[in-house]
Amino acid sequence: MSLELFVVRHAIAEERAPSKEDASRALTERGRERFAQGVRGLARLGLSFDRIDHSPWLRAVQTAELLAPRLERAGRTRVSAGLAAAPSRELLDGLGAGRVAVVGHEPWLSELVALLVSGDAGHGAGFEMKKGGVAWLEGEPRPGAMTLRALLPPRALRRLA
Amino acid sequence: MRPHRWLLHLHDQLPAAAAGRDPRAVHQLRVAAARLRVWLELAGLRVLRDDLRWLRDAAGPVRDLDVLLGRTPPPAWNAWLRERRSVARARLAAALATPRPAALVEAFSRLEPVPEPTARRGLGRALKRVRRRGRAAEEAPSCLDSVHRLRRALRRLRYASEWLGGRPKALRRLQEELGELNDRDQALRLLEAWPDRDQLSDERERLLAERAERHAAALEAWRRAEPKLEELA
Repeated sequence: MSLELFVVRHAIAEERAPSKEDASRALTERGRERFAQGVRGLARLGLSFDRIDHSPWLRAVQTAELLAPRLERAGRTRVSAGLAAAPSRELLDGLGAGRVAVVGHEPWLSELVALLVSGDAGHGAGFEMKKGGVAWLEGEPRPGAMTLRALLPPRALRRLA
Repeated sequence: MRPHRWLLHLHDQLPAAAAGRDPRAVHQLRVAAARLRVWLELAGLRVLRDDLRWLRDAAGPVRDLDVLLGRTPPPAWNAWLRERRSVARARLAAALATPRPAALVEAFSRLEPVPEPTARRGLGRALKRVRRRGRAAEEAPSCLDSVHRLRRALRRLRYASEWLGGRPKALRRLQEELGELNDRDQALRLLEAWPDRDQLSDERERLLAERAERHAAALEAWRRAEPKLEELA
């Protein structure tokens, strides 16, 4: 069951504020523009997705919306509570096969990458997922069974656009 | 910020629909999901549509069976339909027990408001879509699918109007008229799926005749409504 997984950190969002719940922080205008440029970079690499899973938090929903033009014609989006929490067995079991993008948050995305590549989520500190950055993995969605094919920082993606 | 009433409607139906004993809750779950789909269209959003479709698809078979069983079908068929509904209810309960519905509600609760000018442009698009589908239904008067597509477009127009504070009663009546055709069509599909359907050839003939009547009535209702469509919305 082969999976190409694109782990995407949400784009630049509003700063935290006491008056607003963290989960309701929206993308900034700059965040939207920069990520949209990065999506054009993904297009230049010929990348498209069968599915985009995203956390229910606003900045992830908005990032997934910006990524949606890269869906294949029959592609689908799916909201996933598991992407607003530490990586779980349920999250891995639900990834499936094909070309899938997951949009979520740090530190959980680094933990997810570490878990899939090395078998240990605790190695997550070794990966830095910048906002709007993408980690490209390939293999089976089991701990230690995926290979990191590329780490695409947001600036590199924008330069490709 | 208080959640939108449409989102509260979905949230409130989930427990009863999952418990599976109240047909109204399953119906209202589908209504709520259809309304939220219109919200996304008005906002111009692609995300969350597939989650809503997943929800409607899980509830759809239960709803169709509830409607048919509410019309007291012949006893031999009735037992098979009830068994099928039990299976459909179990599938719906399993779907509603996953984290996905709660995540969907959460995602909607955090969306930014849709500006009124944006929503009005969405209403305009919905109206154009109804006209296009209405023309297609008139140009192919024997095609049932064209009428179903028109019905769905009318439903979306009605909800878009309601979002903007309208009370499109005439649109609702028109949608319901077309809905009667859909109910007969679903009944025929379920009859065709029954292994012992040959026992009920009279019932099949009756349903075919009713469906033809409803099809003609639907097209006639559309022709009467079409000239006044903009004021209805």
